[in-house]
Amino acid sequence: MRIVVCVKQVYDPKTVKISRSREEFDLREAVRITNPPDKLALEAALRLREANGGGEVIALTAGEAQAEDVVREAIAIGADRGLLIADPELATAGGRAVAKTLAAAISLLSGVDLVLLGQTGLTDGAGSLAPRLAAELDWPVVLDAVGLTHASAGDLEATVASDEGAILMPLVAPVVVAIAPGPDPIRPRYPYPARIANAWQPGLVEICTPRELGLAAEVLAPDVEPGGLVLPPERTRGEVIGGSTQEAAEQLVGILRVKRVV
Amino acid sequence: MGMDLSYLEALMGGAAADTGGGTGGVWVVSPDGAADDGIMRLVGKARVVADALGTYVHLLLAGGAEAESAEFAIKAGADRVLLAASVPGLADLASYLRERAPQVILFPRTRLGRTLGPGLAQMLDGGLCGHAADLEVDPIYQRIVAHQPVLDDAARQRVTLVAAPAVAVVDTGALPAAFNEPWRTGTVEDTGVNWSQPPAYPAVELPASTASLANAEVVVAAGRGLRTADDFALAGKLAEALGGVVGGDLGALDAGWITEAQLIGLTGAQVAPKFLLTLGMDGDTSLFMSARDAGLIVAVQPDPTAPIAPVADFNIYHDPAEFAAALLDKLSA
Repeated sequence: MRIVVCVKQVYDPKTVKISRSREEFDLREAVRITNPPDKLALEAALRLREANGGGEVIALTAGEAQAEDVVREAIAIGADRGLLIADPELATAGGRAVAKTLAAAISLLSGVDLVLLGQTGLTDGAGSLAPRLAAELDWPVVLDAVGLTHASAGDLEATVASDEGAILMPLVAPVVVAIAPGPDPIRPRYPYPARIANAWQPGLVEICTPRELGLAAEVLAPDVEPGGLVLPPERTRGEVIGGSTQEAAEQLVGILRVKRVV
Repeated sequence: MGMDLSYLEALMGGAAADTGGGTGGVWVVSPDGAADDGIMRLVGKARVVADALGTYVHLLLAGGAEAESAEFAIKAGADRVLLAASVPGLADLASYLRERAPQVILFPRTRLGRTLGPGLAQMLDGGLCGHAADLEVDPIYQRIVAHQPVLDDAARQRVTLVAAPAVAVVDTGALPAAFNEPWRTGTVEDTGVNWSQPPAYPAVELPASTASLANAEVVVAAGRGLRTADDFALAGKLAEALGGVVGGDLGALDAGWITEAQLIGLTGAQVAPKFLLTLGMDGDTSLFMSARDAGLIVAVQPDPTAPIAPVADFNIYHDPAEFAAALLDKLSA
């Protein structure tokens, strides 16, 4: 069983600030971390490997050279080996280019049964990489998977959460599954200290460029151009809702409706 | 000396080749045939975008919608409604739309929309905004600019969809209300395609979510201003009505109304819910500072000079128990 887990290096949103005056992100103090939903995906992969009694878990990422940290962290947590597609343009290339790059890498790895990734990226949460990757590979895709298990016959089953409840979907390999945190989220394991040290040994992580995968330079052309930020109005504190108790209650319900709390 | 024609073309809105190819208009796809308020709002947004681009709005209702919904859709702004009896897979939808060369394709942000939209953008080699709260049209280059929520909707980033066709998966709840213009006319057609029906999967029980104070979206916090345990019960009912959890400060803990797990504050949970309603808390302890980052803070307590008053977004100077009862009334109305 060969599972590829796509991991992504993102900025920790707690360290990303917004500059109101320039209407853009302020990344001067931003720290890079592994996208937490990708850690859920890695945990799901490791649990599948344990339940299967064997198999290979490969951590894959496409990004700048610093993304190697994320792959090494995945190996320290338990992945068998890693693959980094490095190119400085990949940081700004956009979802279309990243999907093509990852698909080329997965095709090159061959014999992959399952691709797992976290459903949302931290800063934008759009969740569009999994369907894009599946379209490139021509594989089926499952979103909103909160659990992944072996069925009795040995095939895989995904528990997919929706607003109306949850369904159990049988999967046919090869398939792309996007892992989302559910009501009882999977707890990702921490790396053993010994594994952290060993993760930096040579030979565990292969680094290559998109060109080596056979991708032309036009593939990295961005499909979207990010622009400035649209900021909500400044928060005003200390306002008073006047009137009688009934009137104030009604006004509050109106405010809650506008803010989509009710 | 010659005129820079490229500059002139930009002023005039670009040559036909620059407008992103495809004269096929703005398409709204409802992959499961839902024709609810969300889709109608999306049709309204498509109408605004199509007017700016000078083209038509086509609505594809796949998966068996009724003719009545088609009539609503025309009043909501669609020029043409296409009905399909079955739900398309990605390849089916891609080949169907490729023939019609749309300029813009909009999906609602349902699971099917989130699955088909990005896959379609990848297959048609178009630009994608996977989560759009709003759309506008760049008037010079006639391109779609989507507003994508970032950092948990702390701000929205303008994303220009450069590649054509422009695909956006739109959060329909964030759009303005749907149009209802009875004077509009349009056509309703049957696509005549026969896509396959998706299989039905068995339902499963998920373990109940461990709703804790730290990750709750709505928190109703009680303080000593609620005086009696009966009044405190109102806080519990309000939390239920709003889909949130109950918390409290040291005063409530001392009164025995809450457990330590429900304590908000420096020694308790750090809360950052979208909505924090405090009943009878005067905020005179530093415990409250841990809840400053809540999205919307409403403080109900009778004293205008209480420390919580300048911190809360809205203050209601009434008896908290009375107000809680009135609010429960209005919410259930």
